[in-house]
Amino acid sequence: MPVYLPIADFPVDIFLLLALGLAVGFVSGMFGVGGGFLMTPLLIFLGVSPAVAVATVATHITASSFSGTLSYWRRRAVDFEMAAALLAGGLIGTWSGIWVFTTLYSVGQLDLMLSFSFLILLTAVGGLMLMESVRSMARVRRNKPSLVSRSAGAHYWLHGLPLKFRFRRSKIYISVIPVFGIGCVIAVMGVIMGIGGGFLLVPILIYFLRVPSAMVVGTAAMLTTATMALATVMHAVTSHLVDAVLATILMMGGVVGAQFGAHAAQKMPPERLRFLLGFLILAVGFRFGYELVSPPEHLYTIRVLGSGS
Amino acid sequence: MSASVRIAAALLTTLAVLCPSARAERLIATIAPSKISISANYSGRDIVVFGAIAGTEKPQRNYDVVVTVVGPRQDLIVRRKERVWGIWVNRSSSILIGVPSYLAVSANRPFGNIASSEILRYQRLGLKNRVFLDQAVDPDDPFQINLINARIQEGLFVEEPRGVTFFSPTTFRAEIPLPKSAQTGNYKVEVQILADGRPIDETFSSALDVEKTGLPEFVVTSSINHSLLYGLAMMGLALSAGWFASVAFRRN
Repeated sequence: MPVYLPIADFPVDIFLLLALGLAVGFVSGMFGVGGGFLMTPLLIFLGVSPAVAVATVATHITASSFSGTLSYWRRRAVDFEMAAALLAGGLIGTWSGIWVFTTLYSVGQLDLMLSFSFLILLTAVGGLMLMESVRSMARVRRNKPSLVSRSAGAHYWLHGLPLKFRFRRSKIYISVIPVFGIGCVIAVMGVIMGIGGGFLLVPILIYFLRVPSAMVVGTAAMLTTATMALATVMHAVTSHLVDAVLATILMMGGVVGAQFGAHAAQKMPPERLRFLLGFLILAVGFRFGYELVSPPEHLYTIRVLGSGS
Repeated sequence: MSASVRIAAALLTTLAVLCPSARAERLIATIAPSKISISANYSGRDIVVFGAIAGTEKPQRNYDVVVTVVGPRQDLIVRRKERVWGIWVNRSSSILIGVPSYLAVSANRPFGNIASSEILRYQRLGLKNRVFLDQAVDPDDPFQINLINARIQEGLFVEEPRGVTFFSPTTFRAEIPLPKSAQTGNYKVEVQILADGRPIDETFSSALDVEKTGLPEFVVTSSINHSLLYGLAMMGLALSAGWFASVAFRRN
């Protein structure tokens, strides 16, 4: 059954969109990420223009990550202070991300920028995650403790920074400067690339800030909800490219899929989850890399500048 | 075929019979529908053109009909990807002014058989003679050629040498497919006739409005006129969808 997408300007089968939302939602619920890194490329593949895809996916991520946030919140697995500190950086990041997005869009290099950043980001994160999960799977098999130890004396240069703050839920005492910076960088990338950045934030919080893994996913989901909600409004105001019909259908599938994914994840050991997620991220990254270096199907691209004279 | 179209066809045939005294041929035509609405379930639509040539004299001449549908014109930028350090990047570009967002040209037989290429160019008949406002497509300009090929692939430029069918020597019918990704705006439908390969100074031209209605229209106008409210509404919708799912699927 085709439904006309008013801003993307063409009709798509409604069941295809629901299935897409459901599938990506399942992945996002399973791994505690927004799923934007899958949804944005898939929409572009369907024929949605990259700019509309990025702006609309922000809405979809808001829905699925809020659904996740609420279930983690009930389990008291959200560090609000940490999320607030990340968000403070995120506000500035979102604002500058929107600015970069609009500039690239008008210069005509948004597509290239998107492929390029997806390639670098996804292969790097996917590769690291894959390596780490293989190592910890081997450790689990040999009954050794996990790689990320929280033993006393695990201090490095990060702990020498000023403006220290005690994050009580996460039981860590660190400077707010790196937290602020991480929030900012994640938000810039999220806005430009149409991703929530959850798949980036989770490893950063675990390995860099040493946030306990019980708190990480919920806190990341909380931050993602806030930045993507803000990005939705800002995309709507600056570029008018948020497609309400597309976003609504994706959301309906997405929130349901996320719940099923979250249930499925509870039956799986965390390192195997990270292995699967790393594999998935890496695969999407290679796909982008292939696109950049292989001769393109369409050497010429057309963009409308305005209504003709 | 809808009832209104059938009535119009019958009317045209009658008119064609009733006007025998005129010296030169006259063209009578009608289009259906006269307005196209893009609503929530729009997925392409056919434009039907009916026409008759009246006032023909014996011996009857051999008629050809060309139907042209031109969508709202746009200014475009066409960019070419080039390989830089192994990566494909948008490099050179060309700005093309006043290119129709949709262009369909139908005739009853291949254009080469209808008239000489000079006449076709002068009368602006055929796809490549009609794309630009003031000149034919330059066959040596790769940007123009690739624009046209891309548009043909997307179904936005159509050249149909057998799109017009005569069901009597003087009455004809054409069906032009408006694609699912059609732009909104003012379209123009034109019918030109040629007798024995020479143009007749008698053309038909009609406006055709393509508009978004219903939900699509509401979404587009509110996204532009009330963008802040629109963004806040989308945010609210997303948050409530997330909340609803987490409540509905709560295990205990």
